[in-house]
Amino acid sequence: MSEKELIRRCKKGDRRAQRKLYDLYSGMVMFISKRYTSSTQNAEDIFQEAFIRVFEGITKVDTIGSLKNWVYTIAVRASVDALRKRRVMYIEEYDNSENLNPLTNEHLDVLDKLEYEQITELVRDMPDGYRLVFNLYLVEGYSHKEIGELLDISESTSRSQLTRCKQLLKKSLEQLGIVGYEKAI
Amino acid sequence: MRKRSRIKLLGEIINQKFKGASAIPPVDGFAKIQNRLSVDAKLKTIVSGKLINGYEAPPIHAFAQIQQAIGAQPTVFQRYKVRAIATLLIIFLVSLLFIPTDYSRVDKGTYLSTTYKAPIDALQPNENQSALPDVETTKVDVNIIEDQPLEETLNLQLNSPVLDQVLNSNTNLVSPGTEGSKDLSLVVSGDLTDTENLEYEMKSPLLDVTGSTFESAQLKDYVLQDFALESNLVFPDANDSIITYFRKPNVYNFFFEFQAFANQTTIRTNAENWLTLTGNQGDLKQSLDFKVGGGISFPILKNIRMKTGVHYIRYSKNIEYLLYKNIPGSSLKFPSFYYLVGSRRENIVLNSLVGNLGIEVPVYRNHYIGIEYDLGKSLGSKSGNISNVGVYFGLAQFNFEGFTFILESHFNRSLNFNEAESFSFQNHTAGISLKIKK
Repeated sequence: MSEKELIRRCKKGDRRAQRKLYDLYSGMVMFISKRYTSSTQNAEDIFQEAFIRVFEGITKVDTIGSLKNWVYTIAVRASVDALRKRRVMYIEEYDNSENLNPLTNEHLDVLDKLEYEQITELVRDMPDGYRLVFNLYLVEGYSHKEIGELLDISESTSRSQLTRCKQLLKKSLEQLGIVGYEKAI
Repeated sequence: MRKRSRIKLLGEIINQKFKGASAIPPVDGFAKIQNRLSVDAKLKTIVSGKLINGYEAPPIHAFAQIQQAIGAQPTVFQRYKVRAIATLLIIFLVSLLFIPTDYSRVDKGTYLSTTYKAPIDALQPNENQSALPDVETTKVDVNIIEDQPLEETLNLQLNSPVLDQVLNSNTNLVSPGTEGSKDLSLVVSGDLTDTENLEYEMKSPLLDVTGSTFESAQLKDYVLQDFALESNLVFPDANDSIITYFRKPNVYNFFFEFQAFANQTTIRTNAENWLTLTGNQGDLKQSLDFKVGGGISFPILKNIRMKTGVHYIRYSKNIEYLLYKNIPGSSLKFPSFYYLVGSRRENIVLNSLVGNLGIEVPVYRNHYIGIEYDLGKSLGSKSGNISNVGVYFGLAQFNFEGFTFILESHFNRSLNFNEAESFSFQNHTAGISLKIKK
């Protein structure tokens, strides 16, 4: 069944077509849901909400350019909305985050060697705000300005969340046995 | 003056000294910035590369739960569907009260034992004619009968219990398709003093007199309501037969109609907007939706009537939704996304003027089914064409002061979408109409 045909039949509410769509993208949606949440239960709720939006939304939109992109976007939206509903606290500390030791290339080399499941595990332990900005900025490619509009926070809050997140990531990588260092001259 | 010029001079000196001055930048400052930028870019590349196409096994039985959840969504449509069905059910049950109760008093034993015989000679068709008498034959008979100076007697007989007896008896008269006909005669033969053993037959050049059984209650509904007595009772041959001629007085019926309906609105987003209805729809106050108008109905074929008219329709729907605007993506890696604009409440109102065309056929007793089509223009801000198709049922009817009051249920579906600011919408309705027919 072509993608066009699949969309056409899903628009009509064809259950078999919905099943096909589900089989195609359920893994992707579940992964996105898990990336944004810290518990499997929450991820499953988001997963369900995302597919409800997909099956309801597909009947309402005129054209869908790429079905995968469209489902992907809905899954991200559902995840963000779920976190927004939970009133995410954006932890901001009053120290100068710019002076924190940044990630180094060495850290990144190790990060590059990790499997995506391991990276997801590292991110899942972070506070909601850090994880949200991490996903939106680093994975989805949104700018801080866009994130600010999406989450109704300031651009600088988005930046500071990312910096904190990178610090935590660095710590986690170091706990895994990778010790960062600074060059001392 | 002097003090002022001194300050000015000081300013000029400082300005001159600082302008173009420089300080030594931090050692490896540029490299640090570059390094930081490169680390950020690398982090982004690694993370997005690894995480954008991940896969996790979905929960077991999730599909079934999602299907169930879709069915259980508290959408406007479903809520109104339940209400509409409940309303229709109540109205249908109430309408049963209006159905004539004579039917229940029919004596089946009498019906089965009734003997039918050929009509009296005056109405017998010739051998060359069809089984049914044609119009001319009937007219000739009327003339013959009217020549007889029996008017007073006829009037007396009309008021006699004989006709009532006939009409309250079980007869094999005509099928319920009498509305398409114009002339009708009721022939009663036998000893008029012996009402138990009367024989009778309904005849019409346009009706199938040998059709299905016809109950006395239906006879009253169809014949007495739709056919006026044209000539009195006559005695063509001594006093052993009665012929009563009926004529449908008004083949064309003018009607006025008011319909109240529940409106289910389908919202369709466009490429620029996305919206999701909030869970507060049940708390929003909805105003009355209605259709009002009038027209004319007339038979076009045996058993088929057509109606046409003009109606004003008002649709309205209060909705609350979250509006998202789309920002197009640049690539698969950066797909388009929607950002939340905010929560909005909107009252969609659509006023329209439509022409209506419908066809209806009888189904059982005085109940009928019809299909209709509305075509027109919307008025006011929500401009556009209106095109609705619908089906309707005659639920109950009764006569009062010379008018026929009819309750109908209507189910209509809009064939096109009308544009609102951030979306387009389509109306589907379920309603009850009261039609007053003359």
